[in-house]
Amino acid sequence: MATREAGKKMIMLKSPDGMEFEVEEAVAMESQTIRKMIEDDCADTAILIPNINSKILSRVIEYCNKHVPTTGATGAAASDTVAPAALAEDLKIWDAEFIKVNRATRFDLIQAASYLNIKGLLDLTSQTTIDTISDNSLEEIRSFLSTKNDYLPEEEQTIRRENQWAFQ
Amino acid sequence: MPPPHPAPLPETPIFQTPDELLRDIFLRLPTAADLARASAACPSFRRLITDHAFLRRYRAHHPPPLIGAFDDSAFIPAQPPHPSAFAARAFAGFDFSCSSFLPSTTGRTWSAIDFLDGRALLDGAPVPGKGGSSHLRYFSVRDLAVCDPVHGRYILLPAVPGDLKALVSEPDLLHLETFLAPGDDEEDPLSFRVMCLLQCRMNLLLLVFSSLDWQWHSLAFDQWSAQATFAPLEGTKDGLSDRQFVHGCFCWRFPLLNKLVLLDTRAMEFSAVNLPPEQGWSSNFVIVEAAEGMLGMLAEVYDRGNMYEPCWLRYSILRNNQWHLEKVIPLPEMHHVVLLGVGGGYLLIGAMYITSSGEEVMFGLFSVDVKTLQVELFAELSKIILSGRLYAGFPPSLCAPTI
Repeated sequence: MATREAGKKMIMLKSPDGMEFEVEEAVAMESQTIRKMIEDDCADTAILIPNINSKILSRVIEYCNKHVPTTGATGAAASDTVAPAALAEDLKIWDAEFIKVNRATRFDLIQAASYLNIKGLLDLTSQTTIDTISDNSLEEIRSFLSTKNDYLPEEEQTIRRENQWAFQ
Repeated sequence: MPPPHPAPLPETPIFQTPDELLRDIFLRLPTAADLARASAACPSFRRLITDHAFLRRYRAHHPPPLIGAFDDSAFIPAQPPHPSAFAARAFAGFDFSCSSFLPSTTGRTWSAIDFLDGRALLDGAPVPGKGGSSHLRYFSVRDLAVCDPVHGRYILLPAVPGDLKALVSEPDLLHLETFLAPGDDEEDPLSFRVMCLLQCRMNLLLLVFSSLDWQWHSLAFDQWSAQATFAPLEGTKDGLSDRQFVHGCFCWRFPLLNKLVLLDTRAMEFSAVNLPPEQGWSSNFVIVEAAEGMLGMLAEVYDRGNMYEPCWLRYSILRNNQWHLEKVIPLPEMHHVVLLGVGGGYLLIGAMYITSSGEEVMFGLFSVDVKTLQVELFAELSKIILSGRLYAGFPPSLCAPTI
């Protein structure tokens, strides 16, 4: 949770299960949905985020904290001495770790990213699914997405024949 | 301190249902093969993906892959390891001819003359009798059909009305070209147009059939008549040739004036831009879509103008009415290079080449990605090919009906 620093405007985000998260306004504004609220003056100092539980909301805030653009003394203050390419590489590694979650959490994150309109997080969460579909066998796709193969045996045969061209 | 009742987020944007989120993810899948793999995973994915509205959305986001090229009647599909080979495999044994469902009329043969956006345009011409048939006679008596080859549907177009036919007189007509065009209504996936370009000595006439009002209309290119007054066309070689479709415009070369003639299919207006001076003598170039709606050109250049010498491609972009050379792409060990056309994001070229292993001479098709300019082997051939019609399309199981 962010600590209050002098000169920084803080925003309180509330999850429906009653948890409160105090974050810098700049971090909260990584979400275009929240940004619009703040810009339209709809948000006083606290915003209720419906349908996103505290577990997911804290992860979303963790992502925004990491991805908020660093300026001057904020965040990763060492950015003056680190090349942008190295920073981008660091973020990529961080993202890859961040997204190592189970299917249910990933889906909740996609839904939260879509609702809060956080493009980077939506791209990241969707891309893992896309990569899985692009690079794996049918069984691996099913196990990754935890989808049940509820095709009837004869149906499955037809589907396989029809889509055989798409598999190695 | 926060107020006791925090402000909830506004109603919109609303939470998306799992189906909507899945659709959004599927829309991001880069290739048709990925889409097919996802649809094979479970019935609920398949239901979402094979939904016609979804397939049309996917098509609007992703241009269909280049499947292969027709050489006379034979179809040459993409071969592994080319990325299009997956989708091409889905067309194994596919009947492009549409002959199985088109009504057979005695004394007429149907032949495909164009493909665009999942539709085929066929003309049913009378079997040529004695005395041959002129352009005009052929224009007057043929039937036109637009088909959906995947779903086996067809539409027979009404005949061109007499008053429009009367705009053309026999000795004047030099060349006739009929082709498919996108519909008037970009929102309506079932709308299409058929265009008929009539090049005459003194005027250039475009007849347009629209599926929306079921009518033929005409359009003239004034600049043509202006130039014709001092230099009327005498033969087909002077006229417009090598039609291409870029950024919603059809374009043709006009060697006589060293210009590119463009037809904007939205505004339905003709315009012309200059070609680079050195392009005048050479027919070996294609127009491609460059970034930000600009026109790009890929031109073939031989060392010392000799086909047996190594050759390369020059990539130029039209900026402020001037062509600027951007990049030179070497075509190592390729000879007798023929630019066949552009489709599915690739320029397809036919060439004789020498294998990397040594001295063996092979024939093949190569693709040049018009965005990355990367050159890849598309298919090996047993003989050289000098012309071919490209086919780009989604595999049959991922096509929504087009008519």
